Formats: sequence, structure tokens, C-alpha cells
Amino acid sequence: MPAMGFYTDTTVCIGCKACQVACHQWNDLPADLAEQPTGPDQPGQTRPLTGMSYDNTGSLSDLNWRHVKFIEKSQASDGTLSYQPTDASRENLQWLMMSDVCKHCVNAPCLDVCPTGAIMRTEFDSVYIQQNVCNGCRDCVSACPFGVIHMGGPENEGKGIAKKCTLCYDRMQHSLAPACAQACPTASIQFGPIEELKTRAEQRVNQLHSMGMSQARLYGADEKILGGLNAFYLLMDEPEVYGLPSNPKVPSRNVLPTNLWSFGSAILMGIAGLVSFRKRRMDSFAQGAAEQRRQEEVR
Amino acid sequence: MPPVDSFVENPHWNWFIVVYFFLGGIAGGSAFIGGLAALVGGDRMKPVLHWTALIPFPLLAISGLLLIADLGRPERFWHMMIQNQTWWPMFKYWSPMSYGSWLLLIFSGLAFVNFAAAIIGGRQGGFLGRFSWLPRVVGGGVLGTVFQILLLIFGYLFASYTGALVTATNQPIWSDTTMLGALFFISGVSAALSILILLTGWRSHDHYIVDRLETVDNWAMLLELVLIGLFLAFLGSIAWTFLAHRYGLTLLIGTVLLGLLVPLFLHWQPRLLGRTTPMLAAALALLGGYALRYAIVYAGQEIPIGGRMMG
Repeated sequence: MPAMGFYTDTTVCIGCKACQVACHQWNDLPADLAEQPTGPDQPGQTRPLTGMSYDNTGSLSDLNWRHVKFIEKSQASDGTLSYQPTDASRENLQWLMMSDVCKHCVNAPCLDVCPTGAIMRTEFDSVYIQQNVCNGCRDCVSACPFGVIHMGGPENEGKGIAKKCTLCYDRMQHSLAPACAQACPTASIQFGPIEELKTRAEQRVNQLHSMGMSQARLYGADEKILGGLNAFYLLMDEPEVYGLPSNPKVPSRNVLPTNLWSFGSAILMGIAGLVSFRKRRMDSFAQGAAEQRRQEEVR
Repeated sequence: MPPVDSFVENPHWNWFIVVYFFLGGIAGGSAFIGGLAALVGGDRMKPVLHWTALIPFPLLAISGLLLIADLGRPERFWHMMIQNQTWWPMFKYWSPMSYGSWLLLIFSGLAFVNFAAAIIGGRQGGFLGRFSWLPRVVGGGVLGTVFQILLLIFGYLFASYTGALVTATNQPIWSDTTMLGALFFISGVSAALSILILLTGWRSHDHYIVDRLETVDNWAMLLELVLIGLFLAFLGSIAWTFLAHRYGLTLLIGTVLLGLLVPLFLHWQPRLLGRTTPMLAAALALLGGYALRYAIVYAGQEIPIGGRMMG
């Protein structure tokens, strides 16, 4: 089975959020309400406005496995770049939109650290959290460099369990494309075998470069980012602008050097203990020997 | 700096984890010191062995309960060690949380045996008297030596793994250094020595033992100061952001000043406050050990650094 995944061309994203809606609908994810209805007179509320452009969900969450980002980029006449929607002195506004999702990394940090084996790699090379195995330790949350994984809240069916995009594993088992890619009206989200998607993405980058858009670049299509991302992106600015780290790391890289430093400190502490605990003992031996010599001299 | 969503999410490791790291550090440090004292300390250090046998197990029992309570699904705690679908053991040597779970289990078993042997002591009659062979087995001979070496090794591994646990993430501060394993281990040893000084000083006023323990503690505290310096050096420019935050100040004031420099000064001037001097130094060192873990656990989760964290 070839590795399957997403290629997201952010240049054609129109921010319609059809992907978010389709994801909610297929995965039966409830709306992220700020206040649950408590009676006929208390119908509950939607989340308050974020104040961040057209974004009303804020980030990926246990209920939002897709999140469309609206980045408002402006450039002042002196060349100063601004990305703050609240910046009053903005000029030459440009909207960068991107549908964010789990990257289904080849060297997935979440899978790397998961102590229960709940996070597994499927036959499609996607990363999947088994809901009946996860015990909610949250190690994967601190490991994911993209901030993808969230814990199910108490109001959810899967409370206390790690949640994220499944790459519609259930649909893929029946040869269906994930709901978000199926719903995307502009083909910003494309689904298919990763190698085919990479070829398509490289052609698109070349096309954009030939049109003078030299800032177009791929993120996660090669092995530099965690061995490759099975949900990779075509971006029009630095990765950080889109909330993507430029150099994410696999957590286990730190384990060996950390343990070597610990071992070194244990050796030093052992020597300190050896010298300190034995010193007085040696002193008492010396004292005993001197006492014996004195007694022999007396005799 | 462009606006970004949070790159790394906050895992919300709260005070359960801080207390666990603190108690686990003391338990591991205690076993390490007990092992050293048993192997090289001779008869004169035997009163220490009584305490190093009694301290770890209750702390590990509390630690286990804290860890289970901290899980999103506590009833599934055993999934850390057994795969619930295949019933095969679950073990990843490259995941500190995975091998740490096994360390907790094995170290708790060893600590329980040591604890039971200390409780049984020289009793002959009654229920406990049936196990009067246990103190003899673990207290001397080849088996006793092997047992103490195992306690020493597992005490070290357990006290240091908590540092590896937070380092093996992508959280800022935690993952920007490889010093935390060594730092947590040395701090655990220092905290264990402080408790031993408090117990032996308070119960028996044994100046020889207190003096020996303080000597080792001096080395531990000096080493801890060096490791804190290395930890900050590893952080690079982030170190200033950390130190300017309340958690950085907690580390500087709670750990470096009150938990290390003042106790070192009190060890240097043991008659400054009469007989309470070593007790005060030990109490402050304990406070410093807790402050260290509190500062680092919360700093990694809550300090917004660069574009990596918001909210």
C-alpha cells in the first residue's frame, strides 16, 4: 500500500471552511460551544469572536481536527511587515489562508513518545490514535511540534483521551478520500499517494516561480522536516508565518545525551560519596593502628 | 516576529507532576545514598541505612497514586506496561515515559523489600516474625550486596529519568537542554541528604553522620550549581526570557539562593545558629529542590517564547 496523504496548496485556499465543516460532519464532532444549553431560556452560546480576522475557532482542538488559518499580512511603505490584525497602521494587506491539520509525520514525535502504543501507524502510513488504548498521559501533546493533539474534554464521548485527525481512516478503508479533501471546492486540499502529490506540488511551485512568485515553497515535502510530512504544504511565506516550526525535532533525540549527562553526574556523586563516607572510616583505621602501636610500645 | 498559532500545546502537567518529581527525586536519591552508605560506609553509617530503607517506598506509593490520578483515564494506567489488545508487555527504551513506568514498578518492588526488611528488623514472634529471614538476606552477604547495588542503580535511574521525561518533548525550555536528567538526579540526592540530616540530627544528634552527610551534600550542591549554570547556558538567548519570568526568579531565589547558596554558607558556618544550623540548612535545601521542579515544570508550559507558544 503506498503512503497516502494531503498536499495543501495554500495559494488557492479561499477560507470557505468547507473542510472544517466536512470534518465535523463525518467524524460526528460537535460544535465547540462556549456555554452548553441548560434549558429553554438558556440556549447556550457559540464561541466568542476571536478578533483574529475571519477565524472563529482559534486553533486545532479536540473538536476541531481541521482549522483554517487567516493570516493578515501587511507591508508598510517603509517595508515593515506586520501580521497583527489589530495593527491600525496596516497597508497593502494580503490574506494568507491555510487549512491546518495533523501532518501525519514520517518520524512522528507523538508516536515516538506514546508509552501505551495507542498511537500507531496505519497501512496508509498515516498516524492514528486508538481510542480504546490511550490513557490520557498527554506525552504526545508535549511532543507534537505543531500543536495538533488535544485532550478530549469532559463533555466529550472520549473524555480524557488524545484527539486529532485520523486522515479519515474509516473512509480510506473503503477507498474513499478523507471528508475534507472531498469537500474542498478549490482543490487546495488534495489527497492521494504521497509520491504523486509531491510531483504535482513541484510542478505547481515551478509554475508559480515562472509567474514571478519566487516566495512559493514546499514545506514537509522532503525529508528535512521529521523525515517528511504526509500532509505537506505549498506556502507563500516563511513557515513561522503560518504557525509552522521551521525545524521541528523528534523528542527521542534528547534521550541519549540526557542520560549520558545523568550518568556522568552519578559517577561524580558516587565518587563524592565514596570519599566522604570512607574518609572517616579510613581515619578510624589509622587511629586504631596508631593506638595498637602505642600499646605495643608500652609493653 | 509574525503572528503564529501555538506551535506546541500545553500538556497541562500540573502540581501532581511537580510533587511526583520531588518525591521521586527524594526516593531515588535516598536509595542511591543508602546504596553508597551500605557498600562503603561501614558500621558507622548503619543508622542512615535504617532511614534510607524506610523513606523510598512510601514516597513511591504516593508517586504512583499521583501519576494515576493525573491520567485522563486513570483506570487505564496499566496500559503503560501491558498492551491491552495483545497482552504483551509494552516497552519503548527510547520513550522516557515508557521506560520510566517500568522503573517505577521495579524500583517500587525493591524499595518495598527494603522497607519490609527495616520494619521487620529483629522481630521474632507474630506475623512479621515469620519473615525474620528477610532482614538477614538483604542486610548482608553476597545477596545483600547485590541488593544494595540494585537499589543504588535503580535509585539513580529513577531520580534522573524524570529529567529525561520532560526533555524528550518539543516544549520550549524542556527540550532546549539535555541537562535536566543530571540536574534532577543531583537535586534528588541533595534533597534526600537533607531529609537524612533532618532525621538523624533530630532523632539521634549523631554528629559524625550529620557531618558525613553534609560533606556529600556540599558536593551535591556545588555540582547542582554547575548544572544549573550549564542548563542556562544550553538555553542560550531563551535563558534571559526564562530568568525574567516569575518561574526563572523562582529558580534563582528559591533554588540557587535559598536552596543552595544559603545552605552551603550554613554548612561552612555550622555554629552560626547553634544546633539548629544543620536543620535549617537541610530544610532550605529541601525547599530548593521543590522550587527547582516547580520552576522548570511550569516554565516549559507557560512561558511564551518566540513564536512557539501563545496563551
